[in-house]
Amino acid sequence: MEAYVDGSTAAFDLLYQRIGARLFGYLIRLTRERERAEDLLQVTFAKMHRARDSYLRGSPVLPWAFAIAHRAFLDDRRRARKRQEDLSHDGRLPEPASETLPAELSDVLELALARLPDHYREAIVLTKVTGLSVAEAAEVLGTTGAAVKLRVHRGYKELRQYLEDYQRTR
Amino acid sequence: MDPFDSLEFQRDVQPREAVSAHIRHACTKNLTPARSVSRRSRLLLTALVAFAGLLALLAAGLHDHHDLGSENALYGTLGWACVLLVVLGLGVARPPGKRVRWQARLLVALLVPLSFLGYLAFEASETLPMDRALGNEGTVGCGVYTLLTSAVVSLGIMLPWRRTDPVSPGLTGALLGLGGGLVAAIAIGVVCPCREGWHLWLAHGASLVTVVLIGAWVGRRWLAP
Repeated sequence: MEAYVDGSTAAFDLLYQRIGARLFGYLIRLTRERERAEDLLQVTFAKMHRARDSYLRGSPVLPWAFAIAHRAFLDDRRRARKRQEDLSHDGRLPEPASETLPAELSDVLELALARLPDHYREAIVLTKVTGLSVAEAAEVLGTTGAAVKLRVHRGYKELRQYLEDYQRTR
Repeated sequence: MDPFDSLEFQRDVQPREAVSAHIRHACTKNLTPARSVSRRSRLLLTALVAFAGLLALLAAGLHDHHDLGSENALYGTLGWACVLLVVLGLGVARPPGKRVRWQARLLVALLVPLSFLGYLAFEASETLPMDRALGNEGTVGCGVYTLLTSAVVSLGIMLPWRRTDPVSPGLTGALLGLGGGLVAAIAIGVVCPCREGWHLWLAHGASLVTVVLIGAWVGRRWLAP
């Protein structure tokens, strides 16, 4: 990151290679839409680029980059709530996608994760999927490590409940 | 066993090549070295702006009134200067993500202006009917002057922290606005000769509340990367 701040293109390539996929994985699980996640990834890197002079040399890059991605997601969600719903060609609201039960356990987990409240999902995705430490996740979310652990714990309880319900309905 | 450990779910997902190429192009086009300012320098700059603002407002006020106010007002000023240091410390002393919990900072952003209004009520030597106070040109002029100087000092304090807070820029903006508002309110409180209740509340206190709200709004736009 420091070499990138100093103007090295090769350093940017290395940075993108190291954190691009992790940021994208985080965003895709927050947005649940590939295209929107790609848009937000571009926004995140544009913001990192603009704010590279405010990066504190020597500090870890991951929490900083994830915090920017998290903020980009929140801003986008707020804007999306203000926008009117798109209408289909005949002027009606689009039909919601029909919910069929997924076959694979990984799909079930993705679906269960998508149904969690945002603050539980963010804590689980940051710590379990993107591999940030509890302290790093706390930095990204602007809260304490204890609060992150509590959110992960409660999120897990809800996930377990969903998976048990799924097992019963199969 | 952790259900996430054994699942394909954890596999990295990659953005499309075109997206990666677009990001690379946007971030490396005309890439020049960026001058990075250390946190210590930014803190120093903030303290300097606050101190310079305080001195400039005191000097301007004393030039007009030649009076430092009562002894009580001076003690109050010292007390509020300590509160100002705490507010700025909570706002920016530690990096984003490692600051005091947001709930505590929000409480400070709400309680300090309310306490200041309470202090002004305690400071008032008399309270006239509200319509007389509102009709007083001095109250309006003093209020506008306090608000404008608060805004200028707040912007000066915020400037070194542009694009530095991706976590809670609105809250940091509110605290920096509160810091700038306190600088102006402290200085004008010392030199303003009027001790009428409504004057103190409307001209000195309301501007502090306003600048906290403006700080939160500006912070979301300025302080976020």
